[in-house]
Amino acid sequence: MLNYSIYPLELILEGYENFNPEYEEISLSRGLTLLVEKTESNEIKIGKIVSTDPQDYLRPELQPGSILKNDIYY
Amino acid sequence: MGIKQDFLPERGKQEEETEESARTIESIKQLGESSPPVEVKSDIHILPIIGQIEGHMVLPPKNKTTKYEHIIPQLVAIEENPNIKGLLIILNTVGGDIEAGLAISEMISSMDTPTVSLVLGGGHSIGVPIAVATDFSYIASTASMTIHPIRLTGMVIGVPQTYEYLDKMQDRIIKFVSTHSRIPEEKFRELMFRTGELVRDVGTVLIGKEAVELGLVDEVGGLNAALAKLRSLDKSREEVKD
Repeated sequence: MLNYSIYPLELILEGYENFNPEYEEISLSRGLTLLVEKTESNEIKIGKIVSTDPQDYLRPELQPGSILKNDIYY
Repeated sequence: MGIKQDFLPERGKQEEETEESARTIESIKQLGESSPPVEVKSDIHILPIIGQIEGHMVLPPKNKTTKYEHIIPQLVAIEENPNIKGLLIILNTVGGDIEAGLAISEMISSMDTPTVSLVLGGGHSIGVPIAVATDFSYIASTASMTIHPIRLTGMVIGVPQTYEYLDKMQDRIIKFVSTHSRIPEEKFRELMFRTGELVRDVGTVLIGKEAVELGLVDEVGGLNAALAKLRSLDKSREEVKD
């Protein structure tokens, strides 16, 4: 990674050693896959969405960082 | 206290009203007689580029980041959606990954959908090519843009960062900016390496009007100007089509 920022890299990467997010894949319909992070027992936080339909990326409920109730998808 | 007492029953009433309208919409749907009120959707979309531009590495959560792997498909979706008449890019970024920043810039510059950028607060480092990639760019009068060389700091990850390599990376940025704005290549390079402007560093900070005078940004302006520009760009595009 080559960074071009007014912030020093040390500041940006502070806490990187202890930062190990665990992602899980959830497949939804029509080839839509979510890479999610489990936050609480019944909630999941979207880290990334994987889809070949570009319109999926404009869906407000699928933006990275959105919280979904886990039980809907299991 | 008096205000609070007055306020509470009012709020309760409002909640009741929303519940009631939700029930109404539900019953309209069930009857199938007429369609429920259509949600207001804007035909101008907005893309905020904030915090760090995140590249191949997921940054620690204390950073606010713009994720390029999400932005790029969004740009594709916006470009191919006929209902979207314009894209407003709002920049308040401290910079970030070069490859990710240049990728976003190239995507924006090759879009047919009218695009306008507005620099608010700051559009620093790799934010500069993103700001100039649009059809027209605005900067708020108080916003700033820092132009500086790519720095070698203590922690370096993975790449052979020789001087030559850094020079090549810098050239990519300089070339992109000079081809997409009115600033000549030599002038931008000179701003990048100017001494005496930044504390303990080389480079230049441009505030509002200065960025316009140097030809980096098109005009000083705000939200109304940016939206009006998008509308006029869309109108001229429609005329070309006809």
